[in-house]
Order: sequence, then structure tokens, then C-alpha cells
Amino acid sequence: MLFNSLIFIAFALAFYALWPMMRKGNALRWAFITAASFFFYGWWDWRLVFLLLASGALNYAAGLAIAGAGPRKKAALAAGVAANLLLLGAFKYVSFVLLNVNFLLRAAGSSAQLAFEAPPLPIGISFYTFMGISYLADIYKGQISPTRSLLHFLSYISMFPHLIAGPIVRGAHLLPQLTTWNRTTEEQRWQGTMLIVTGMFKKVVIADNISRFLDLAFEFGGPVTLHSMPFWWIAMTVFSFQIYCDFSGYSDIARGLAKWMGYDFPLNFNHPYIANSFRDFWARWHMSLSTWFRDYVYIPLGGGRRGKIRWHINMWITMVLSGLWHGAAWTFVAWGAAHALYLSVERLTKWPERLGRLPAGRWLVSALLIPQIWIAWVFFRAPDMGTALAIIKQMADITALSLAPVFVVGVRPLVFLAVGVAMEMYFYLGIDRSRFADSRAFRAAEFILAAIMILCCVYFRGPGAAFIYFQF
Amino acid sequence: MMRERLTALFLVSALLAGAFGMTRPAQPWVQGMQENLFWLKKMQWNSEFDLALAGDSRMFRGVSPEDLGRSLPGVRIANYGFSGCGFSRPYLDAIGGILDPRSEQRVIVLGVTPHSLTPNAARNNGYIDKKNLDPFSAWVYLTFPGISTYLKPYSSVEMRMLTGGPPLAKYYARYHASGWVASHKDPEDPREALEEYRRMFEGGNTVDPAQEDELASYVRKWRAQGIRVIGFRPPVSREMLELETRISGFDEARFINKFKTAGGVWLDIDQTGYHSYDGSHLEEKAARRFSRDLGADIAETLTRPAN
Repeated sequence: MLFNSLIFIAFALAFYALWPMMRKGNALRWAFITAASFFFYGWWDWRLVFLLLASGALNYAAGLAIAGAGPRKKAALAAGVAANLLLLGAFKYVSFVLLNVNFLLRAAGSSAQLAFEAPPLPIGISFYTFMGISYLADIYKGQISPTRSLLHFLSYISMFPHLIAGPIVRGAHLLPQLTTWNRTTEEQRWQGTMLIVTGMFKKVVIADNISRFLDLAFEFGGPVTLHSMPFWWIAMTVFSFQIYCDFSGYSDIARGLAKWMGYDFPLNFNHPYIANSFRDFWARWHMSLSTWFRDYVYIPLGGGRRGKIRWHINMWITMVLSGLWHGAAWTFVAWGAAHALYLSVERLTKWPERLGRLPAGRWLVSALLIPQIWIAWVFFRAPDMGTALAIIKQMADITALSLAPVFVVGVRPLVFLAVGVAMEMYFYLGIDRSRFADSRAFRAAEFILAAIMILCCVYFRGPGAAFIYFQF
Repeated sequence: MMRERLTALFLVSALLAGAFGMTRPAQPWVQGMQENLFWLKKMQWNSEFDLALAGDSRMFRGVSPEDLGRSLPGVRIANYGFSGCGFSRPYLDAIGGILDPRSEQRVIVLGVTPHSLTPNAARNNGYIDKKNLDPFSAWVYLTFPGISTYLKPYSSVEMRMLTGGPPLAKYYARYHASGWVASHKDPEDPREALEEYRRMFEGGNTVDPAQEDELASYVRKWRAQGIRVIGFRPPVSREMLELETRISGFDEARFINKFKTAGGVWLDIDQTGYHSYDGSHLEEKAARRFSRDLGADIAETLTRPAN
């Protein structure tokens, strides 16, 4: 069920009404979280419940096996990780692999073609599989001990706020929290409410309203018929904010729901578009995934400890795999590679630091950073490489300056885009760190703003759509 | 203080929402059933009709079951058209489901437009949108239609009127329980839809022969079940007809051949003889006249033995 649906509101009301009764006894609490979360997951498709149960049981058993394997714990870890990757690969990557194998066969002149109809991608599998892998790796490294209770583990891996689209919460962070039940303070509930309201506003008011711009652009033929450099820059600004508001909105709601339970989820987005370098961008965008790749891919490969060239190689591998995690298509690989290129160039030239020292340096850095991020997003949004390259070509075509396509597609979404940009400018200009942010006037403004955001979520919500990251 | 703040927030928000809803500008040109209810009721139809009309907006705006039925007395007729609807499997499966299996003569009448045979129409359309609505939300909308309507999002037209501007056009619509939406636009612009369709077809969303084959397979299946299947191409403006013939990829002769071979009866109707307000959809009086003419053609067809 979607967070922005009536059934979820009914589900959440029932869950939080019963939650105070779960203070006595871990087993009851874990069973309640697990049952509710399985119900939440099964609402999409009841068969998914068995998949989640299988994944949970696999990682629970593998965790115990690693801890008890003695000298064979590396082999036990390898087996556990391989099982997780096989599960993910079977649903997500087999078709992609076969597509490319068939391409190579044709290129080699063979008429043989492999056929396989992959099942639909189970929602959330990329997230809970990665949670399972991090759990096993942390046990191997001795950072955590495996839980002896299957219910405890299932409540961790299936917890509905993070189940479908993250954040990817580490075992060390959440498992201990689940052994406690603390009466939430009013401050926690207020913070949780603000997170939920802000997240919902970002998703249903901004993301859902601006999404129509690009949908219509592609319905009207995309780069084949819409020839305009400014149009495509506007379109990619729209998409950049759509994916940011959609995904960070979901994370905010997830964190808010956890706060209402008295639990803390890590911050997942820290206003990435106000970053002052690509390195800074990746410290702010989808933080739970980027730290996962850092800890479980980049560092085991050697990180930056084996020389400059090896740093670049390890970073490229990490970024390309990160792209591939998002989707089984060359466009996602290209997106990851684009960011790897940006990071390599940044490391070699240190251009953000140099530029940042100039007058209005911060603005100059943003002026160079943002367009590159937008260009990388083209690969993320375009249905195929051909369309992606055609869009980038349009973005560079200085002979096509007409704004007419903007009016063909419609300007209404741009009003909502402006609201999204204004929200981020609040942080870019540092107003959140000013004295105003500590004042009574701020708290009053926050209250009024929250009421207005709730009003907007009711009357100015866009056409209901699933969260973008559900497809990964 | 904190306890009061949280409670106060919900109270203030509820009051604001209640008050704001009263500012919704009236649109007296939208009449009949409440729109949400219209679509949800349509989705609930099950095994209760003798004749199903199916297709996209040219069907649900262009064919009135009441007027069609003048030539078919006693026949229970439903307009099962949906916005932008393509003849894809989910929709085709559903069409047969609204016919009463105990009916003496079951009939499916398909309004086939080039757009209804395109990949975009198969993927994203009004039927799939309504089908994807979760059952709980549907139940809430059906059980509490008043509150659902009060709290529905403001449309572009309403927002424009709210900020003091006149609506760009008045889109008259009357929603009938039979599934027909009588419509008209003021001011009219018979060329309005041309640009949209041109961009769509030139952008690559053209007729897919595989979808034609799928539709033909369903015609064969329905015929095997004893259902009469009749098809036609809904009337449009002359310019739209020329545009679609030129760039939509629709080979009408090829399609009609497939349709007839599968066992369907194709009606050769006057494709430009009825008035459209935007080039694509018939205005109300024209739709009624067309429906009466179509009804007579269907009645005459049904007197002949099936293939």
C-alpha cells in the first residue's frame, strides 16, 4: 500500500492505536511489527509475503551460521551474500543478462537466442536484500552479534516504514532499538508529524504535480518532436526535483513513522542540490545507499588506500554498481559512470575548491555542478540510450531556443516546481542555520506552514502515483 | 504546550480544509452524476447487460445508449468506454464480463480509433487507472461520495477561477448512469485536438499491428462464445480523419480484413458527417443523432444471421 493512500491511513491509525499495548515483552512487540509489516507488504501481492519470509529466514540463519562458523566464517559469509545476490539477480538481472547475451550471439552471427520470461520485480527487494547483506557483513566484521530470535530479525528487516523504499537501516542501528519500548515524548511526536507532513507535501504536491510535465513531453514525442534547448533544461530541472521530492519525501515519511514508534531512522537525504562538490553531493544523496556501497564495496576493494590510480578504479566500480542497483539497463550504468567521471575529474583538478575561493565562488560552483547533475539524470529518466543521447543533444543545441514546447506541454507544473526550488533555497541560503530558526517566530511559522502543507496535500495533490524508487 | 500544539495542528488543519473546500467555484456546466462516482460505478458493472459499447473517449462521449436503444427496444445497453483506452488485454477481458451470460443475444460494439491500437494507449489509459485504484479507496469513494467530492483536488479550471480568472473554456459535461458523457465546449475549436494527435503520432506512438492481432483474437474468442461483435471507426472532423489516415500508421483496409476474418461485422459509417467541437469528440446533439443512426445500423445487422 502506498503511504499516500486511504488504506494506509486506515492501517496506520489501527497500528498506532494498538502500539502502546506492545510495551510489555519483546516477543509481542516483534510479532506485532512483523505481522503488521507483512500485512502491509502483502497488500501489494500476497505472494510477496513468502519471498520476504524466505529472505528473512535465510539471513537470520546465515547470521547465526557466520557467528558460529569459526575459521570457516568467510565461506559462510560468501555463501550468505551469494544467496542474497542470487535472489536479487533472479528477479532483477536475468533478463538484462540474457538480452545482452542474445545481442552478442547475434553480433557473432549466430541465430541461437536464449529466452526467459522473468517474473515481475517484487517491490522493495533491492532494499531488504541489501539490509540482509549488511547484517551478515557486520556480523562477520564483529560489529554486531546475530540475534537469536527470528521474530526479532523479521521485525527489523520487514518493518513497514522502511520496507519498500528504504532507508537501508543497518542492523547495528535498529536491532538494539527494537529491544526497547519507550513512551514517545510530545517533541518526538511533533518531529515525527513534521517529517510526515513535509514528506507527504514533497511527494503528493510537488513531485506528483510536476511529474506530468515530463510524462506529457514523452507522450508528445520527446526529443523527436520537441526541439528546444531551454525546454529540455527545464524538463530536466523538473525531473531532478521530481525524483528528489519523491524519494526524499518517502524517506521523510518513513522517518516520521519510525519516530512515532519511538525509533530513529538515519537521515537519507540532506539537501543534495546545495552541495559544494560531487563528493559533497554523494554525502547528501540517498545516504543510506551510498554509505552501504562505501562500506561493503568501496572499502573492501581497498578504497583510497592503494594509491591514486587504484582509488579511481575502486570508485568507478562502486559507482557503476550503484547505477546497476537502480535498474537492469545500460542507462543506469551510464548514470553511475557519469558520476564516476565527475568524481574523477573533481579529484584530479580540485575544481570546486579552486572555484569556491573566488568572489561569489559558491554560486559559481553551483552553476557548474547543477548542470552536470541534470545531465546525468537524463540517463536515469530516458527509456533507452538513444533517447538519452537525443535529449542531451537537444540540451546542447544553441540554435533551438524557442520556448514554445514549454507552452505545448503546459506551464502549470512549473508553479509547483517553483515551490520545490524555493524550499531548497531556504537551506541553500542558510536560513535554517540563522538565529531566526531558533526563535519563537520560527516555531509559530512552522506551525502555520504545517497547516498549510496539510491543506495543500488535500486540495492540491497531483494525480496519485507510486513512488519512483519502488521500481528499483 | 507540545500536546496542545499537535492537537491544535490537526484541529486547525481540519478547519482550514473544511473552510477552503467552500471556496471551490461552482461549475454549473458540469452536471449529472458526480464524476468519481460515474467511473467507479462503471467499474462495478458485472454480467448485467446485453450490449456493451467499448472504446476510448470518442466512444464514451460520442455514443448515447439511450438514443442507440431507440432501435433496440428492450436491449440493456452500456457504454463501457474509458479515457484514452487502448484495446489491451486487461480491457478486452473486462468487456465480455459486463455482458449477462443469460442474455438471449449478447453483443459487443467496438469503436476502433487509431489511438486505441497504439502502445501508449495499451499501457496508460483511463481503464487501467480506475482498475489500479485500491479496493479500499474505491469503497470510501462509493460509500461517502459527498465527502470524497468535497475533498477532491482542485482542477486547473477551478484553480484558475479561484484566482479570479475566467475558465479558458467551459467544458460542458453531463454524466449519465448509462456510461455516456454528453459533452460540448464553449468556445469550440474544431482544430484543438489536431496538434496533440500530430505530436503523438509523429513522436512514434503509432498503430501497432500486434495490437490489431490481439484484438482480432478476442473477436474470434467472443464469436466462439456466441457473442455478436460489431465494429466501426467513430466519426471525427475531416481534418482529423486526414491526419490519422496520413500519419497514425492505421491501415483501415488491413484492419477491417482482420476484423471480418475473425468473425466481426464492420459498419461503414459516415466518418465526417457529425459535428465535433474539438476535431475528436462529438458535441451532444451530434452524438445523439449519431447514436440513433448507429442504433439503426446495429439493429439491421442483428436481423441478419451471424457468420
